[in-house]
Amino acid sequence: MTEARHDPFHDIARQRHAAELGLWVFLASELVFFGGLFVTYGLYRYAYPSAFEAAGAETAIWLGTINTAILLTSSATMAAAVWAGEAGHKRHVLIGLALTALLGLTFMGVKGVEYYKDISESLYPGAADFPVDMPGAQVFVGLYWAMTGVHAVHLSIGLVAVAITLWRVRAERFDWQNTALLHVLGLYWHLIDLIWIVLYPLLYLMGRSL
Amino acid sequence: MSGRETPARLWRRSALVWLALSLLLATTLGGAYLPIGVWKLPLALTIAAAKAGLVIAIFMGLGQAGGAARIAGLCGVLWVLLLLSLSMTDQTTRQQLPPGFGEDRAGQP
Repeated sequence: MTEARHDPFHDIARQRHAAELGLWVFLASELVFFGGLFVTYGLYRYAYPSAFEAAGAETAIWLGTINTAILLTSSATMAAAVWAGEAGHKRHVLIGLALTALLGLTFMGVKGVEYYKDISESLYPGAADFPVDMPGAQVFVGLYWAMTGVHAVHLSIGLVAVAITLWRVRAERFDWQNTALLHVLGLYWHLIDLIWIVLYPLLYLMGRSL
Repeated sequence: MSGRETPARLWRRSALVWLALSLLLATTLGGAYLPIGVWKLPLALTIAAAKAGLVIAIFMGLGQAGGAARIAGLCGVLWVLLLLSLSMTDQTTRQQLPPGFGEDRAGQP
């Protein structure tokens, strides 16, 4: 095991605070980054309310709902891994991280199936036989691809980070109990979940009726 | 978290939050099919805010975070709210000029 404290920090508590603060600043900047997409959605939805409803009804609600459940579950397993790290239960850190990685991979798999379905149904901007013939409908679908695509990029980065951390905890490559690394990794993963919590109603729940 | 928490306890805590999140997910899915017209989006976003609140408060532990970390997180929310409210205020209150406005000036220096 290597030394937990690194320069320039005098003690491990300060180092933990700095890591935590740094990540919250990063999360705030991520929020503003996605905020640009949310504002675009808001403005175009205001301009084309019925086209957004019609195009919103075309997305695969069941795949979207299953993926939401998967991501919420992965946040729960990630939280358990972080809490187990604070309490010093290595086996449970490993179980939590492995489950999180597995659920993240499953999310990407379902998303891949959904993208395949979207493309085969011409649900992309500029498609020759685009299913909804209304001005503004393609803007909704463009936002759907941009928002879920950027989210998937974040999730892929999270997956790699979780896998590396899993290996490093297992091999005792760093002091997982005293450094803030597990906590910081958890914060990033929860942000991915938070973004999806907002995307889900905007992209999947609009324009539905029995 | 202070002291050594038993694995059973921490998994149970995480499972309880997961249960609450799943119930909210079922509610929002059901709500999407209710015939409530324009109230659909506010309802869905309110439930999303409740879900986000659970994740931020318990999973991310914002309550236990240091003061500076809390301010940083809240700043992110504040900028997004400013971005949204100012943009939407402009969009919803901008004066639409009548068709043909200013055409009589065409060709003049």
